[in-house]
Amino acid sequence: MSTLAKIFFTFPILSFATTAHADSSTFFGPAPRSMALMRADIADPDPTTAPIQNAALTAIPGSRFRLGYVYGLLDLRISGQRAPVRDVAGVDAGAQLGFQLPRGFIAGLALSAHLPNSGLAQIGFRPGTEPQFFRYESVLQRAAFNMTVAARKGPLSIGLGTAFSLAMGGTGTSFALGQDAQGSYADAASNISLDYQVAPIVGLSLDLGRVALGATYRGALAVGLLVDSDIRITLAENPLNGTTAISVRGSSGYDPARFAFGGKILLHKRFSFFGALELERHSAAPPPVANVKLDVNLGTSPGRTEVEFVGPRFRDILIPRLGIEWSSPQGRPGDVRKKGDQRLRWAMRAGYAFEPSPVPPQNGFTSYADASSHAIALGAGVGLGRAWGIDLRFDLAARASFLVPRMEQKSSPALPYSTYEVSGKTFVGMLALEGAFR
Amino acid sequence: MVTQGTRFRIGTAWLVFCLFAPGQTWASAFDVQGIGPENIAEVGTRCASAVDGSAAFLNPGSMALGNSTSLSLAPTFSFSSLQAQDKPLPVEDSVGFTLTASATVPFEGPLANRLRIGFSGYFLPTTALRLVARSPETPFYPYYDNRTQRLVAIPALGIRLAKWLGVGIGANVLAGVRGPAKLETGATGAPEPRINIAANTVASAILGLRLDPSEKIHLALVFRQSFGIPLDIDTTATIGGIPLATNLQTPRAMFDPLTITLASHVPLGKANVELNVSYAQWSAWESPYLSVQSNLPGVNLVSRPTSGLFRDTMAIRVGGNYPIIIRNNVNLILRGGLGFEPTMLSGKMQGRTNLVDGDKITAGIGASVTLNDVIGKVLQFSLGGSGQFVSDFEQTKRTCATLPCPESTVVGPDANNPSADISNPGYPVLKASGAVFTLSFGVGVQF
Repeated sequence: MSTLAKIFFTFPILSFATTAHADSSTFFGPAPRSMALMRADIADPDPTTAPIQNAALTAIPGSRFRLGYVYGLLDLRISGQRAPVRDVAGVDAGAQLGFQLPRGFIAGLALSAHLPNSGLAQIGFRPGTEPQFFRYESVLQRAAFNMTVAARKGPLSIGLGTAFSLAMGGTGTSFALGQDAQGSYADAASNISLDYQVAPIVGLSLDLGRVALGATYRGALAVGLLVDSDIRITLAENPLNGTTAISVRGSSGYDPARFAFGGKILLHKRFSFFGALELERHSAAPPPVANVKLDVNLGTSPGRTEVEFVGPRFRDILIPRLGIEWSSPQGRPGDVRKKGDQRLRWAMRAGYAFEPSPVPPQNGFTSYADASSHAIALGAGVGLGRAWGIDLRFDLAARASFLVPRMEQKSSPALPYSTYEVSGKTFVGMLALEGAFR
Repeated sequence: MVTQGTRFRIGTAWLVFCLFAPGQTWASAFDVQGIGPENIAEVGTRCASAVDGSAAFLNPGSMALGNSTSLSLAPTFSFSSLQAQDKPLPVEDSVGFTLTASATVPFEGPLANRLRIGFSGYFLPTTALRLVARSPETPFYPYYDNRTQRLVAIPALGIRLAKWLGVGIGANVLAGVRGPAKLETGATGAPEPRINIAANTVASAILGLRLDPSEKIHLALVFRQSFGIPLDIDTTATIGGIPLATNLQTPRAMFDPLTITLASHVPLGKANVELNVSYAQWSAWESPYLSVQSNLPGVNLVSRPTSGLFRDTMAIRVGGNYPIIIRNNVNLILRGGLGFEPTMLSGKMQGRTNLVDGDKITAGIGASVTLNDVIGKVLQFSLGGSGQFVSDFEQTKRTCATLPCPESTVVGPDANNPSADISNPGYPVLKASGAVFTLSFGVGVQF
């Protein structure tokens, strides 16, 4: 197979690329192995998950594609009542191509995508005073698309890439409600655009054999929303005649910049230990609620015409991640096979992470809901062997996280939602089939 | 040996399948401009001959009969001299980039050389989509409106059933928008939004067949589902305690019609000539306008429905190319084409609306230079351009003489004297004319 011929296994992924950003794949993991290792595989991810886990690992010879499905039950509660947060479900796909270059260099290209069942994106805003699990809502209901390239020389690899997002803007929508000799009419004109937003991805890897190190950075992304609406009412003898201009703007589903450093130690030929520390920079987050501005010139007027929420002052958090992998004597599923080697391979995995909450105590009008959580995961993979030129493997994983119950007690009982408790559990399962051409 | 009868039966079965496949969606700048410089110069033909990545759009079945790996990138630019009521109507988002790719899936065993994948993409420089919905009285060309303003991504799979028979399917994915947006007085006494807008996946298909009765003659049938992005947004704003509720809806914004194309490709001496005949079901388009329903206290307002504005069309295009050997490894390919497409407006007398269109004659010209064994097997530079000349449009508006005023008339604000003070921009005569030009330069490589 020619080198570039392999490239085009990546192109079906582009069918999911019409909108993208961070999503469930950066939250729970892009594939079962990564999920089972609790995303501690920064130093040694599978090549098809490199765009999420570490772009540097894109530079692995061969070509691979992966198709998986993820489903998550989110039982999140506010004062014991289940919050209206949708479950997470969707397709995860990845493709990677790596090839040898002269002088011992290896280059690679990888694409990763997540397509939720519910559609390509969700823009959701609740009133700022209402309790809301903003980290589990819109951000987990979006398609994602990431693309990386990488080069490797000896033990050192470096990768670069981009994560794509969209912002909703345009000049807005105007309504004209009026009447002429034919009677009343309701007209509308609209100009809506979905503009690209991109965030950088950078990855580094150092593979020393029994020990491997990796570092990765991923920029922040959010879905911007700007909706301007002009309403003109000209009806005979109607007290509402006049104009109303409504402007709504905000950032939905902010995904913070992330920096992660990780290592892998091969404790035994069949047993690996993974560890990682991930810094999530929530302090730069905009308010997860939309600001509103009204310009009303009707027969009636609202008491207040503007609301703007101050910065939420979220905290940066540091997440420790741990994982272990135990593989069969023949090696891990996905490892290169010698010609004629059709033996079954397997691997068992487990992971743990503690995720602190970035949300500070709520003392004002806002009522953001979040709590620190302990998460554990288990997983397994099987290498099925080569058929029709493809080396197939199957992986699955399950993850559970438990929010540490947290009570919010505002300084004044007159404030909205002055007392509420945050608690909950999440359960996520994932399976995937991966094929490799070599 | 497969008989001609067998080939005919397979072709007929595929045709029947295509005709009864569920109709829904697909799109784009490719319909209006063409895909890449080669296709633009050959005025949108090549359904029976393209085997590279452009076949993901043109005919995935034809792509199945190719065997090379290809990649091409082509910036495309369109500009317009269209005008209505003496106001220029420029092409919105006139610059885009066409990316195409194709390859054979490297299976072994019974699937070896049977499956090919391809991709046709069109990317705007700064935005994935820009939807412009115009008010009913604005004069504009619906044929060109909103058709070059969105990202297109079409992956396709081609299956080589035999050396002479390929079938394929392509998919197009985009998003419709739906959901509620409320503005209500919150706990602070200020207006606070509650928005839950979802971009739901919209997917569609392109089905293609290529049948080669002989090595030199290629026949093709392509079925493209109609495309439209649904938009359905409920807005509720409570202003001063009074609820203003408005529903904004359109079943198919950015519409492209269901299209069925029959194509034949034959050699004439050294030249290759392709004839395409296309049927476009424009009559299925309800309206280019947003539908509004608004509830104010004591008043329920709805948009005036429009219907019967469009008719189906049958277009014919002839394109071809003529290769010339310059040196051992350098070839020049001259390209050209000519096409005709009648107007999609039904000719119905319009009242408030001011849609314009005309019969279209398209002429294209271009050339490619191919260099063998420089990068990959073939490195190709192409330049293509086309002009689509639209016949003049003119419609004299009819004023309302008696009450109730019919939809086909224009009126003023006074119900007692409906023909007075008419401000409709298309009154008294709606006129339009002009042309649209497209230019593209591309670089492609085959391995």
